[in-house]
Amino acid sequence: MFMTKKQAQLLLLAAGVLMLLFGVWRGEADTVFSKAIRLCMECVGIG
Amino acid sequence: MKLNRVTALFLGLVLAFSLAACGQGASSASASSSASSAAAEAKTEEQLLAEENEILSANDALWEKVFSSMDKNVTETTLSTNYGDFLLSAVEKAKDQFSDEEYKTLTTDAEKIRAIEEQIAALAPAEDAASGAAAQGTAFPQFEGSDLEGNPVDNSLFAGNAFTVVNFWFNGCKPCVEELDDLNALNEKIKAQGGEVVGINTETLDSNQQGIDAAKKLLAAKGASYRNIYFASGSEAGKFALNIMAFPTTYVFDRDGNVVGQPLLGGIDKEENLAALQKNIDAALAKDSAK
Amino acid sequence: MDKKKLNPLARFRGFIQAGATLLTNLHLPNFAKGTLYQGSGKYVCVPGLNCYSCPGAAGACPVGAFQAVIGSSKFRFSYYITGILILFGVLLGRFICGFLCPFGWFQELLHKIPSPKLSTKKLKPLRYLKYAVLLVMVVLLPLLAVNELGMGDPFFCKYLCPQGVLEGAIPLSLTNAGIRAALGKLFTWKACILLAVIVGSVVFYRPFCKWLCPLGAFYALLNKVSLFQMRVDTHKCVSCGACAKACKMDVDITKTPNHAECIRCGMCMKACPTDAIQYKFGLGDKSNTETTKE
Repeated sequence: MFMTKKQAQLLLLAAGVLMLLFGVWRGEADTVFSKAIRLCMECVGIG
Repeated sequence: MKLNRVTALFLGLVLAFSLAACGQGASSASASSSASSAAAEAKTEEQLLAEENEILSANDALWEKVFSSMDKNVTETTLSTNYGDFLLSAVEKAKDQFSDEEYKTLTTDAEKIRAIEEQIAALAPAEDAASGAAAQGTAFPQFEGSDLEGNPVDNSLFAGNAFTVVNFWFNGCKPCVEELDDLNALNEKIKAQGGEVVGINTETLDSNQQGIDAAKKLLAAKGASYRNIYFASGSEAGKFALNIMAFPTTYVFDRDGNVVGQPLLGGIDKEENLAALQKNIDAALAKDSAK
Repeated sequence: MDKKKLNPLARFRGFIQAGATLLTNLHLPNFAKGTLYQGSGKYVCVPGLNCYSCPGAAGACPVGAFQAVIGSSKFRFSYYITGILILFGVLLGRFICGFLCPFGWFQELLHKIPSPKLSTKKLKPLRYLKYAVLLVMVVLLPLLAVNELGMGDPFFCKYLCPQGVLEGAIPLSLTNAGIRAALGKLFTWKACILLAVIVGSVVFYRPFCKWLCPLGAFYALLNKVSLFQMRVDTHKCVSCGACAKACKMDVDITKTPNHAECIRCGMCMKACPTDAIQYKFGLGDKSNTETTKE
């Protein structure tokens, strides 16, 4: 039988939390931080 | 009911955001409030000066006498000494013009002023540092650090070169990494003119081993062999480096460690950027040969 | 019409948008100083499209952060940002576009400028463009177009995002001479995009959200399963069609209450003469009959 909407929601929420934690665990947050505190010149359209 | 949950969620979000904002209050207070605290200090300095004036105007007539007895030629040294001391000595010189009581009030006033002057003096250096950093500095601050191989480096670095090109970068910055080979070529080229390229990778500060390893790998991959240095992030030089926001930023310093021209933002792998840097280099060379 | 029952969220949407924009860009003194906030808020991304190179930005931009991770030599995918976006998307869906996104609000404010307003109903196919932007500019190009060290460019930020110019380049170049000196061709190109979006926003309702925004595209994919939903009470509905006419995102809510384009703005609720349309928040479809098990 196909998943109900509720099951899909719970599954996605769980997946979201797990991915978030896995990403933090392997150090992605530091990469985000180091990029976010400095001016990304090519991002904003300078140069 | 549903509405309550929606509002609760929204409030939760609001809370999360405001917490993020509070985090700033604590962690970057030094950075973001440096200007405002400088303003606060300026205010207190004004207040202190006002206090001095009040003290002087309270015994207006007496002080007028003191001032009229003073030498007209106020020299540089008297200006740089504590104003309270200056007044005391003036009072001392004109002692015979006053009664004992008058002399006492004048000296106590002068003592008070000396105390206030000391407070102002204590404020001044902090304020200088803050405003200097805000203006991105005109000279490279005193530092003691080392290069990526561990050899010690300090400010004498600048004196050894006619001019020094200092490139600020970090490992995750693609445009920074892409100009490393161009900077190396520049370093080879300017050696003959007495110039040197020095890299400062902000992720290697405080001898961060991970950052140093990554930086070494990138430098090797790009065939860059010029010096890269680091120092403590809490030092004045560290503050100078961390105050830089846009990467890559390339400064030109003269023999005395003073900034020449406007720092360049952007990689020198772009022709117009290299031309802008060359302008600063030429200016530094002209300045050095004029000495 | 009975407006008393209108959900406060919908009624005060403008204020919520203003508040969300302010919270997302809380560090206002930085605008004058021309510096960026560098505190720990930048570890986390905000729900809306908001450039992290904006002086006031309190957090990271989800789209920018995703590309930064993918484009770094260390990682090829960002579980961290994807996880956060899934959570945002499943909890709120495109409610974020309608209520929390600063750039969405910006476009709406522009749309208030008096001018002939054009319908976007005939331009519906353009909606799919944003999925292409998400796939190609945010995921594939930063992942595949890399240098020898595995570093890629944030293609969406670099070549398309008008928010970066609006919040980053313009305020920073006003206060910083070095940045002014560095403005080049890229700035000209992106300023043109911003100008096009501004002009477009005056005549169309939220053109960037509808056609180009990769963040909107991601939330659109999750809109059908988001906990924040629209519900049409079929007993109350008189099938007058007022809601579909009022919808500026070109959605017929009676047919598809959780359409990918619905940003939960509540204009249909305001238009409905019988109060048949409601917000609901909860798991599953039938939250009204939901049992205590949840």
